[in-house]
Amino acid sequence: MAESQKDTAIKQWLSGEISLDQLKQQIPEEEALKYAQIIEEVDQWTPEIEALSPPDIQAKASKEAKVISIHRSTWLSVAASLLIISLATFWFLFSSSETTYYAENEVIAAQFPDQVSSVQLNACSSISWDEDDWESDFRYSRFSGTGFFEVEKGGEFKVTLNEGTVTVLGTSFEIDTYDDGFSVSCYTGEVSVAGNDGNVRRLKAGRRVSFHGNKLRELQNFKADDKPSWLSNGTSSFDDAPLAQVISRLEREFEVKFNTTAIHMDRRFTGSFKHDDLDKALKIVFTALNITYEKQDNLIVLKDS
Amino acid sequence: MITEEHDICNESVFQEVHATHGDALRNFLYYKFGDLDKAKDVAQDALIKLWNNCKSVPFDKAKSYLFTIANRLFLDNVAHQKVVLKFEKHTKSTNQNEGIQPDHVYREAEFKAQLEAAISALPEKQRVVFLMSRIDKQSNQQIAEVLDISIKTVEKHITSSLKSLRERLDELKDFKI
Repeated sequence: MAESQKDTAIKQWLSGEISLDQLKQQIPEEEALKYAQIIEEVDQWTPEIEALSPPDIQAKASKEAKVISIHRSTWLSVAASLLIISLATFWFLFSSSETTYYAENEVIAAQFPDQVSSVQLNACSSISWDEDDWESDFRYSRFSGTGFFEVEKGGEFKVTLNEGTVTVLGTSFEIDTYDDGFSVSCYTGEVSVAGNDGNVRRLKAGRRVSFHGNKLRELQNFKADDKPSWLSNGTSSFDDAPLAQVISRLEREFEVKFNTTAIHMDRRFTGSFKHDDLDKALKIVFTALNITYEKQDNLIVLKDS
Repeated sequence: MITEEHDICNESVFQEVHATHGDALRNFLYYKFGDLDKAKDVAQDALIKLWNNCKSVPFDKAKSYLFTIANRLFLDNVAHQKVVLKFEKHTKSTNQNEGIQPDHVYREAEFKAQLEAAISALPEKQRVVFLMSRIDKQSNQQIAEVLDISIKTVEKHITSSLKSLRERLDELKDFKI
């Protein structure tokens, strides 16, 4: 009997798809009994009957505190000038060895611990990493929002998102996340993107992949200028993007919130809007889609027309 | 937005993560490196790191974060030593007092010790996958995710392990006079 047929039978028996008696029909009986004896024995084993005891941790400081602990002595003098100049634009948090950057309403640049890689964060986007864990072959961070990454060639560079992971080997690329999905556009070099659904795609320059609802949605070509348009000329552009992604960008760019309960979200938008005029942007996006919009208190209510 | 029950910075959520993954983590390190005390220490260190980084790690990535960090911590300061694994038994065999089991081909005496030795001698990847499957009862999908390999590879490792173990035990059996 072919080796792979035997392997398949063993696999099916292990997973419970076929019984031991059925296995005995496909491989020599004595061999089947040996496997059964081995499995019966190992299944009862454990390295240690005692469970692993909980580690000794320190209680977290209250969430309200902006600074949880002081990491370097230079923090105080840096903080003083930062407070005066930049409270309006970004805050910067040190907590034991964890570093977080969050852009409020302006683009800010953050440099990674390798001193050469960087990310530029669009409004309402954040990046964080652990200084102590960072190594030249283990560059690990967590990201949400819209950002343009420039990564120096080196060891592994991984960015974790809510809905997937981006693995990089020296390249520049844009990540755009929103509630239900994300897209990654490669500008130079090469990038590997893994969605939580298990799909993995390698992107070369000029290629973009999007995930929506935890599923791979599509691969596209796009014109890879030097940088994304939100970085080079204060414009957001979309090519056949899910409406949810466009709305998320509007929310972050203009700091508004939308009520979308009365519209079909299953639409796409192609076009662009500048960041300096909310009314123009609303007109561009929603008129084309036959959606009416109305400002009610702090909300913009959308309706299918 | 992170819901409260998925916020690792919430102490009770963190304890839940520890309770769910702590043993499997310790076991994984033991299967791979063969040093139980060190496995326990490193498992705890990895959990502490997770706590310190609770803001950076999404709840559903906690497990793979723990396994990745623990693996690195272990590798950071160990030279390759020969792996010798020993195990305790959860349940006493109900047939203990009935003498020889009719279905058993290998003799009871020394069977456990020989099987432990055979498992220790398996190639590392096969050994780790096999034990995570049978002892920690992880699904093929879960193992594939944690070790970052395909499900097909997981299946292959398990089947290869079983066949190697049988061959090894047969050798030992045949050498007995």
